Amino acid sequence: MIIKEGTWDAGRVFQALGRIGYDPVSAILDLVDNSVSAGATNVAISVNQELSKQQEGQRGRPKARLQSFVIADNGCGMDEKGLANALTLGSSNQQYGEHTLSKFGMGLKTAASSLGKRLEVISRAENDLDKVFKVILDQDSIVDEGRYVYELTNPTQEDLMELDACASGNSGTLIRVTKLFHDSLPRTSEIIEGLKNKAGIIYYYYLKGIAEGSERLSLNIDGHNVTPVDPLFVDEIDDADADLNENTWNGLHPKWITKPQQIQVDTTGTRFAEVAITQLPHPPSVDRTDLIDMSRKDCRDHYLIEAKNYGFYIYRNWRLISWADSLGLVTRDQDLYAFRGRLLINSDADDVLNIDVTKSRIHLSEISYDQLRPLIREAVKKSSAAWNNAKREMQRISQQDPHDTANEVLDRSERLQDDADKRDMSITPPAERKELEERLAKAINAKPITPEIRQQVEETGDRVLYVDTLNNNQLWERTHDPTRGLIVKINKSHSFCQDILDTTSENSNLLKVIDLLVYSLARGEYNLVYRSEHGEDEIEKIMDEYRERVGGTLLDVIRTLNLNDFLADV
Amino acid sequence: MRTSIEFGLVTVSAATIAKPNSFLYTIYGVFDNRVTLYIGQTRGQTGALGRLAQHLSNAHGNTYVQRLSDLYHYEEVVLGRTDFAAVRFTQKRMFEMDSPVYREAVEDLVQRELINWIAEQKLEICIVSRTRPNSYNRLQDIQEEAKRISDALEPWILECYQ
Repeated sequence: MIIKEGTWDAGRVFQALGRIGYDPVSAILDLVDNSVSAGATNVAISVNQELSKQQEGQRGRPKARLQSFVIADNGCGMDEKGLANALTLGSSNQQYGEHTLSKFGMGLKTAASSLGKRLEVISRAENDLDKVFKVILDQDSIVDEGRYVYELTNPTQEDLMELDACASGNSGTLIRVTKLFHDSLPRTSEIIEGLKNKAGIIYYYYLKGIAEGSERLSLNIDGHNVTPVDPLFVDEIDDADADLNENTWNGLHPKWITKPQQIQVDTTGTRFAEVAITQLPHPPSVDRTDLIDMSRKDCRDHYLIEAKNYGFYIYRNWRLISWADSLGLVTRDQDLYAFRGRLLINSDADDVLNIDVTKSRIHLSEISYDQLRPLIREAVKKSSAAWNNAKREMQRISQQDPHDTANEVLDRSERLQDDADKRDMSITPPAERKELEERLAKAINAKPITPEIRQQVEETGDRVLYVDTLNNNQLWERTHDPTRGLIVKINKSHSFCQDILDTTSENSNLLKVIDLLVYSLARGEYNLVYRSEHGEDEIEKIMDEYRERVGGTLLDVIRTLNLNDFLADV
Repeated sequence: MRTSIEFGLVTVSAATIAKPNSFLYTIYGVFDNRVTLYIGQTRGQTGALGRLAQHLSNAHGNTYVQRLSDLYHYEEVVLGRTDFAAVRFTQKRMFEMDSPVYREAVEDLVQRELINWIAEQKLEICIVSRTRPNSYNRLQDIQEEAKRISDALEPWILECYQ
């Protein structure tokens, strides 16, 4: 066997490196990653413009165009050897700490190559503050030379001034990218806006000073200090009422769906990721309440509620690598606009999660998927149900709710039925009547109304009441109010409500029919208990068990369904 | 798929685990030099012990062995040391119903609690079972039951691990 050395065209390779899928904002922030990995506490990004040269014969005023991107920091800096390593394709990350943002040692070269042809690095290392080194990597020179070359030179006065605006005479590094690819870059304002919108979330943990092993970072973009933004808005969750109850949530405040929870990412059981999920407010509900002084738009802006922002924010070593990722589990659905998830991973899981070169995509391992999938599915269901509940409450205030229509009909029917019962009773022979009255009293006392339900009934006037939960997974249960008579409770936590009714809530006729049906089941039971010839205690027990069994059977049936197919026509 | 079992010491200290009650159980097993933990719930005629027998068999219901085979990509699963613990659910109707929905909610919370605990304790144990939460996870009764059971299991897992 003969081992032969392969060849490569350095010029073409550099061109290719710049096209591995960076957008300019991601590329600039990848350069910032090097500053963060170098322990910088001050980083400044400048997007500089120049007047474009007038072509001969061209009329009108000259236009401003992008001239350079500059990133300056006060990190540990690099000496000549460090710079040589930084410019190596696949540079070593040994000089960085445990939580480095580096992975393949390609970021500086690839990110810069996606922005422009010329990369300048000016650096003063902490171990020798008297020396400042400068290297220039120019793709035109590489093409001319036909090999990978860069220039080592002395920094200019301008270089030093720019470096020290951030490093203040101490260690630090300045990256400057020029000879920009104007044809493929968006407008300056768009780039700056993109940086400002993203950096607060991307470096949230560093800006907040809670990234493990790092000091608080100050990041300045074009003269503006970036403030940290937690996309889950955890700090706004009230500890006293922190967990989301999708059946009662009023849509006004952020809540926990899943508090920080570990999941395992490999089968050795040694590597973990942390998942957390929150529910953000429902802007129309916030808009309508007097409790919060916030318009619908303010709410959307503050909580970043829009189509591109819901899903999972994946942080690797405390730095965001994936924005609003669906993880293949968060469906595209307007009802999930308030869903925010976070996945915290460490670089020790890179291999099992298949982190790619741009560090923007992960592929979940089998074990992590096994542990995440049920958790996310339930969270998605809760988030959607909560959003719909808030929406329904709004509709209830502003327009006729289908349940109101059903309740009006059922209320009338119940009063007529009650009246008919009393008439029947009045003509029943005394001995029989006494027995019937006793049975009736027993049936009523067997299912007394609780103070909470009574309050709800008084407030809403509902005959069929959707309640948070019922014992033993029953779908419905009857209760008796001393003044209003029979009330039927439906269990909002039952899978039938969560998986079927919530997803078909647009179908108002279906909701009315369900109310009618369940009311009739409860009314029939009530009649059976006190009018039957069989012992009422026995019937009551049998009916209790019957409702439990119906609840269980219904759950079993729903679990066998493919709900998307089953409800496709609704 | 085939299963062969090389048991070390097997002990059953309480005969109640064969009774037809509701149990939350864990299987602590060493497989291919890795420590695995399986969490499940049952309410069968043969109790938790009957469920363990199913898990370790070559027949339908051997979910533990099946999970090991799937996760570690082995056609034949040779079990090493295998320990078993079961905690009886509190005697409440919700845990004794045929429908498993409340037991499943507890099972899910126990699994989550144990993953957090394993991470915190830095134990090299992989939880191989799959659980699913439901809307009853948030009920106080469910959370208290899960806490009670996790608290009972943690020292036992530590003992097995050491």
